[in-house]
Amino acid sequence: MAASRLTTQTLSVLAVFLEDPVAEWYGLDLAKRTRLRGGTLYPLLARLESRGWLQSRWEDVDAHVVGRPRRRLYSLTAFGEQAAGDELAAHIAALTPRAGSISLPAPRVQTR
Amino acid sequence: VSTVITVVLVALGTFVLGAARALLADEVRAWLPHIAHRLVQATARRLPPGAAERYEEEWHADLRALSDRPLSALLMAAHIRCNTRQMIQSLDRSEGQTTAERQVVPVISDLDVCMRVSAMCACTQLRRATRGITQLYEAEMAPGGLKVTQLPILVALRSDGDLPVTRLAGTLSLDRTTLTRNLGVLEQRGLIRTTEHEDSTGVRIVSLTHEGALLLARVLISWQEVQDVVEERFGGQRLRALYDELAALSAAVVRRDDA
Repeated sequence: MAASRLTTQTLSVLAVFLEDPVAEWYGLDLAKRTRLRGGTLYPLLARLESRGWLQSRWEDVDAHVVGRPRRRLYSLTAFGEQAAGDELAAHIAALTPRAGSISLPAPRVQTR
Repeated sequence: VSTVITVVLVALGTFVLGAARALLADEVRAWLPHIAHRLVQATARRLPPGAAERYEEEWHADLRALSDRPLSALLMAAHIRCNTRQMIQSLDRSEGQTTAERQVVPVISDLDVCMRVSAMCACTQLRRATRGITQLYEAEMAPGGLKVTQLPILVALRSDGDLPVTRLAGTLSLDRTTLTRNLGVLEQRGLIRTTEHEDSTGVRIVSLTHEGALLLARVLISWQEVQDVVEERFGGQRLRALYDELAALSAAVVRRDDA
């Protein structure tokens, strides 16, 4: 499988979304999770949204009740979920050494 | 006498300088958010019509969330401002596509398949329903500030008592990453506590705190209200029939995978 041609920054954002594919995130939260700064994150979100990988909506709250402005919430589209999963899998496959080239420590077994 | 005058002058000078510094700091602190808001406003207004309003509102909300850290807010606004060009390019559908994206997009450009996706895609239909239902429940439970993904965790701990993380993940059919993230949020709010098991290594036990139990009791009242509304409008029996069908759907998909 070919390595993903998306940037690692894009992949890091998609990875956050894939943790819970129906979860919705707002920009600042994503910036904290991915440690990307606003000027990097927002163009990236805009691109993913215009390509149909992400969708966004205004948070359904009354600004006076919650005491802060409503936020823009981003979530994966069904198409984005599939495409992002493929891209991340390709990226991980490209990073994983071929069998036998490096010996990896045995995975820890869960006791319960 | 001159010593006394010197001491008085030095004391006076220190006091004046201190006051001036405090005043200046207050002034700067008051101005930082203002500058940050003006920066994102200026950036948003360079974006294509339609996007301008949306991003202005979106970024203002971000800055408001950072209002206790005015310097971070200013840095964020400045970084967004410096990347205005990238933002404009990203909003333009035709430009800036990477090869991978260009390869993926034509897959869904086939109109027939597109129509089948919107009408028949089991995943899309279920997600759409999920999103609507999630909003309904979360709006009702909003005063407790609990997500619908977090409620089952508190419920499981209330009914089953303390549980190891792995058991909890199994009970709730959640993957560990999602569970761990939610546990982190709940623990930070003091609603649950995780402790190492006394006699085994690496096993973490999750338990409900007193605050968690109190909040759960309150949220359960809200939950009952919204649940009653759903059952009343859709019908309890019909709802149970739907659950049976959904379980059958999940089972059918699993069987196909195994075959």
